[in-house]
Amino acid sequence: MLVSSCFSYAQDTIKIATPDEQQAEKLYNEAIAFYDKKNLSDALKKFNQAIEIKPEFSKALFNRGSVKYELKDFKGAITDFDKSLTIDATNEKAYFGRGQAKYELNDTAGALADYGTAIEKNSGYSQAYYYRGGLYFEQGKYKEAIADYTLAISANTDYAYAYNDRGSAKRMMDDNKGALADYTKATQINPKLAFAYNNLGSIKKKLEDYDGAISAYTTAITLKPEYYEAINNRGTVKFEKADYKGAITDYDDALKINTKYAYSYNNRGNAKYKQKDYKGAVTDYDEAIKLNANYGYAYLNRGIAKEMLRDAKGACDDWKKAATLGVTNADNYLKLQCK
Amino acid sequence: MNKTINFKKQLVFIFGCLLLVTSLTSFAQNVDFTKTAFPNQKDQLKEAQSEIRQGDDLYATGLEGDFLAAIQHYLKAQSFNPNNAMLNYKIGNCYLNTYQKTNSLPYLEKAIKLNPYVATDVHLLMGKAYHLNYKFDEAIAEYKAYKQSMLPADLAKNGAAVDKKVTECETAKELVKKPVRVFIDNIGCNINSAYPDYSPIVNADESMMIFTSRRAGGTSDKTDPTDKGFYEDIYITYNQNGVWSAPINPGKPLNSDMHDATVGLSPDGQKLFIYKGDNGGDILQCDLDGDKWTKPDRLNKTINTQYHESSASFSYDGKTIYFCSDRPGGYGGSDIWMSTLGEKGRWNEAVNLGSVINTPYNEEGVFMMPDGKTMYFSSRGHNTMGDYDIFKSLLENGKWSEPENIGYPINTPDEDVFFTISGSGKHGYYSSAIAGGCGAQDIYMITFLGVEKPVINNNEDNLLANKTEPISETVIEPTLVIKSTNLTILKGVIMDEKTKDPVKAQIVLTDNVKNEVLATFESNSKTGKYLVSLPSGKNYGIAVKAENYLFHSENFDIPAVAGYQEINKDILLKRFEVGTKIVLNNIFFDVAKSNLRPESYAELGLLLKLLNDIPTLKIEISGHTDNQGAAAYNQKLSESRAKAVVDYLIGKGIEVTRLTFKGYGFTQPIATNSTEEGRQMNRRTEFKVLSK
Repeated sequence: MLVSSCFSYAQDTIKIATPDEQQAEKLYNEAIAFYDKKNLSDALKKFNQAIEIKPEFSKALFNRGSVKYELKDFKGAITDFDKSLTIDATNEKAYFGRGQAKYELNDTAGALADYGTAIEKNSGYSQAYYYRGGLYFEQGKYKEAIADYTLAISANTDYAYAYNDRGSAKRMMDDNKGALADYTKATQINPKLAFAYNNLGSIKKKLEDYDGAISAYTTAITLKPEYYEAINNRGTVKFEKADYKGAITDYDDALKINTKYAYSYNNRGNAKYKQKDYKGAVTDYDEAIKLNANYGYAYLNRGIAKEMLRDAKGACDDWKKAATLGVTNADNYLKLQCK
Repeated sequence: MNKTINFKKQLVFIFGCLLLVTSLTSFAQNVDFTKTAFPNQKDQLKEAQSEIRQGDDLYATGLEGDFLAAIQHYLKAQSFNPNNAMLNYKIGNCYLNTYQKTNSLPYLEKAIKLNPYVATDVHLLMGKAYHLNYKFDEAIAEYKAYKQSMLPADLAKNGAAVDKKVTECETAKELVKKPVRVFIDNIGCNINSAYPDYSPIVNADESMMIFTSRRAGGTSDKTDPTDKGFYEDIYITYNQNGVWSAPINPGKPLNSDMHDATVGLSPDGQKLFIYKGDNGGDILQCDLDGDKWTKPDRLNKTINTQYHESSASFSYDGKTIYFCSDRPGGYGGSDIWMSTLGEKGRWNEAVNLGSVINTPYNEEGVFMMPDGKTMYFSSRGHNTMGDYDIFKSLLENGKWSEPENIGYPINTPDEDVFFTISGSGKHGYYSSAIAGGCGAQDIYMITFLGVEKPVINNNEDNLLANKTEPISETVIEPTLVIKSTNLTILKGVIMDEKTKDPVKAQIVLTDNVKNEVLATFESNSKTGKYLVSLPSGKNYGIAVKAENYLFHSENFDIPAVAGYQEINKDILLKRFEVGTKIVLNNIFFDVAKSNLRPESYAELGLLLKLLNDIPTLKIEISGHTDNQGAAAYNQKLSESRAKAVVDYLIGKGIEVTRLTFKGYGFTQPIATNSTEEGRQMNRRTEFKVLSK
């Protein structure tokens, strides 16, 4: 759902004046037709044939690069974008496409440079800003990310994704109110975005608007019933509201969708702990740990439940393991309570 | 809604006649123990009347044991006729005067149902019964009803006491809402008996517990005529690897044929305060000499007066006693007082702890923790939730903090008194008569769990619209401050270095900064065991001295923030012989310098005393370093440090010819140089006996 459609910038078909002389252009148009039907391999064949006839066919080179990208042949894509740029250096989309391919090959510096050039060529290139913003986000440069998302939005005021992602960057900077505004805007522009509603729920949770959070998560789940992360998140809000029974129902539902979701096992364990069902809690933590042997918090929590079951040694063993996995509180408990 | 009511009304109307008949039996009226009421049960009636008379005789004495005995008689009559208001009232009142107080409620409820005017104080008793059964709203209503029924003169005199009961219920409601997280465990029927077991006191490291028991098989098989129970005896149990040993009755002279009750124990378990009922109630002290307790010795008259002196507790250094007394000059009832140990081993004039601690009501069961600043005591005043509650106060900068109720479920609406806590602060001990024990009152251990440990939930979000992988929410772990006692307990065995025989030695605790002796302890002659409490925040010098042995020194510099720790350290004393070497652990120099720091003077004083006591003694002072830096530099530094010690002693009048100094640099390590701990041990000053 979230993978961007790279071909959104594939160029239009070309009008053919004299059929015989324009064999390459004909093949090119056939390729585009295949692409529209999502038949990538035949599209690639037709582009190959067109370029064989006319090796300097810049548009065909660019589009073949895009098809290769979609087929995850990132190196091949870069070769085609390179070639198309030697013929037509003004095509900002070729820079952008090459940037994306470089990103996929973990060449972030190369990707950044290409997005930059694309923006130089077209200062209103909202997608280039958006992707560069994403790169900054991943590097933890949230301020730079916000700046790019803002430029993406001013170039395309209905850019719901950019609003969502800017909200996330703001959230990472603890500007929770700013994040709330952006997520809200994203859902207003596109009320079908389940993930934006989920994020809206999470920011409301952070702002301790628990009822608001539950309603946002519920919308996300209605839009996408298999969205187990959002169900798990809603469970946690109910947990915060001390509605442990309701929380358990949500965690149960999340686990019905994804039986291997360690987080929901851990969280359901916590809800059972709060209900003083310490044995039930330990069973859930056991499951979470079975799914992820390095799940530090599950060890921490299991230790806490074991303490209540009067299993001091078991508690200390769990806290010891959690501490080695970097859980600071576990280290505190270990020092204070375990010999 | 209205429909339902109408329907019910109809039902009532239709079955009205039936109900009228049944109500005669189910809402029975008071039934007297008379022939009219029981025309065909002459003999049984007679028997019941006789039981009531016997019960009444016991009831009239007002003694706890008699109330228990009276109940047995009354219950027999009750089984014959359960519908007599007065009998139900009396049974309820009897229970309120025993340790089975909560049993009173159904009888009082029935009494008031049978006859609302059964006794003038029935609402007061009902209030108490509800209060003890955690029915606080009902209790408040009853207390208020009682207050309304009071005559003006009584109201003026006792109205405030009833108001206090109401306040106690309000407090109880609040405390029950926020229970303290604890485990409460019966310490087991191998320690507890079927008889009352109470007043447990543990020493600082919980290796020993003394308690009072009224079990059979004590030093006397007689019973106290006032309550029909066996006389109290003191029992001792030891903890080995978490298990309490079978309790020992140390016999005479610690226990006598009369009541002997525990009230206080020194942190090292070598000194004991006991209570005797004569002279209005006095406190006596016994010391453990080897494995025998000395004859109880009555504390001097600044402590014991003609008034009632009850519980007492030692400060960690044994130099202050905290005790309870109802002598005049206090704030009302029994108060907590303190006294310091004077020069000649007599307790100085007692001082009242003041109005922050003491109230117009009784204060009892004082317990001072070995950290030197935390006091636990029981009070019927402050914000008690009923009768005595246990409170905590801290002595900081010479002032006691506002007492804090230590909370439910440790405190209850009943009498909560005589509570002790381990040096670590992790365990408390007290007695309770709650159901499910070994019989009567039992000793329970409380494990303090501290504030609830937060469990951590994990969640994730799709933060970036163009990525399928969700991103985990960053977890910020709530910081949890778990308080621990600021105390170090140093313990172990003092032995002869060669024979490993236990040695009875003096342990002198010094504040190195103030160059002041804080306290003197002794190791047990039979076992060589010792235990010293070191409250955090001082640089302690510890000198262990015994006849014919060279003194041994230890240093513990404990920062004020240091939490609870137990250090096990066996001390090997060296015979005073030519060639013997000992490390002077309390001689301090500035880094890379050879000027003596003032913290060294206490230990230098010991050395000086030794040289003055034995005028023929000749010694060598040697300096040693770790292996950091060049050999020549270290040799020079160690030599100049040894010389500084010798110069100090010469300055104090010791002849030059008796003293030699040497610098060994790092040529004689006593520990590894590869760890900081080892290097610290290697940086040292020693002295050696050259001739004596």
